[in-house]
Amino acid sequence: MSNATVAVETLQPFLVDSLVEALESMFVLALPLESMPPCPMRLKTVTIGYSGPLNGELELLAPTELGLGIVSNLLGIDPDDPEAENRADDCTKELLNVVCGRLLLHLPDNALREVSMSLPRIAEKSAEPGWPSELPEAPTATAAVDADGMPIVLRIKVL
Amino acid sequence: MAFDILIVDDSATTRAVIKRTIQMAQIPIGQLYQADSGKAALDVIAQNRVDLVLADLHMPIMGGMEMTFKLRANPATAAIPVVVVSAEPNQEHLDQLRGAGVKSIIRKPFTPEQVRTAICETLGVAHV
Repeated sequence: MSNATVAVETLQPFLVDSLVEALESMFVLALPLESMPPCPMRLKTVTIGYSGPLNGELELLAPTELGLGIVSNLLGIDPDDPEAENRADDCTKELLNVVCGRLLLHLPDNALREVSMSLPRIAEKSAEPGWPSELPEAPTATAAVDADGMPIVLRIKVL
Repeated sequence: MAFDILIVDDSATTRAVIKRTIQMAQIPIGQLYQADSGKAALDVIAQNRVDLVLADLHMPIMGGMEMTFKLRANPATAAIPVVVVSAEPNQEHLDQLRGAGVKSIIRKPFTPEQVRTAICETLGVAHV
């Protein structure tokens, strides 16, 4: 079994908890999805890489409105305020940054002393890049939650 | 005595949250500076008196680790206390920072109480 496979299997049980914890720290309530909704019309894709004894990426797929909601929660700015729009991408990237940091803490100690994280990157996708058609079933490298009514997908990708 | 504090994070929202936490903590504050990279932070410190640095680690241009080592290497800035606020999981990096005299490491996601406690303990002010 490759290191990458071991890493995914080590991390995937903690995907949902890492995402939920990060969302809750930004005052976003995350609940299990009962069914997989269609891909949001305006989707943000955020990726963050990790490297060291294993190489991979975390990918977060979320509606544009998630970042606006986080800005509103943290700073009290109305989501319709242009200032919220300016800060929304920053919040979504920071969300994945926090998720990745929490998730990687579950690596074995020896890997934890060598792993590095990249800076998060964000893009707006109008297509449906990898949006699941059905709810992921454990064990899986993909997690999906309902975040204040918005579907979010978090995926571990092995490079 | 009022303290001049520098907040270093490439996330403007995180800087704003930390700033608000500090303002609500009833710590006597003089100036609250902000920087979005380690390099920008060093530029602020070169121009202003800073009593405490709150710094993220993962930032573009220059990260928090390099910034901290540069502060320690300069006799004029070596004594400025640094509190790290980061999602960094790498224990080796965190040990190196502690070895470089970092006073406190707060892991993201942080609570306002964690930030308040770290600042008060580092600056030696009573925790309100």
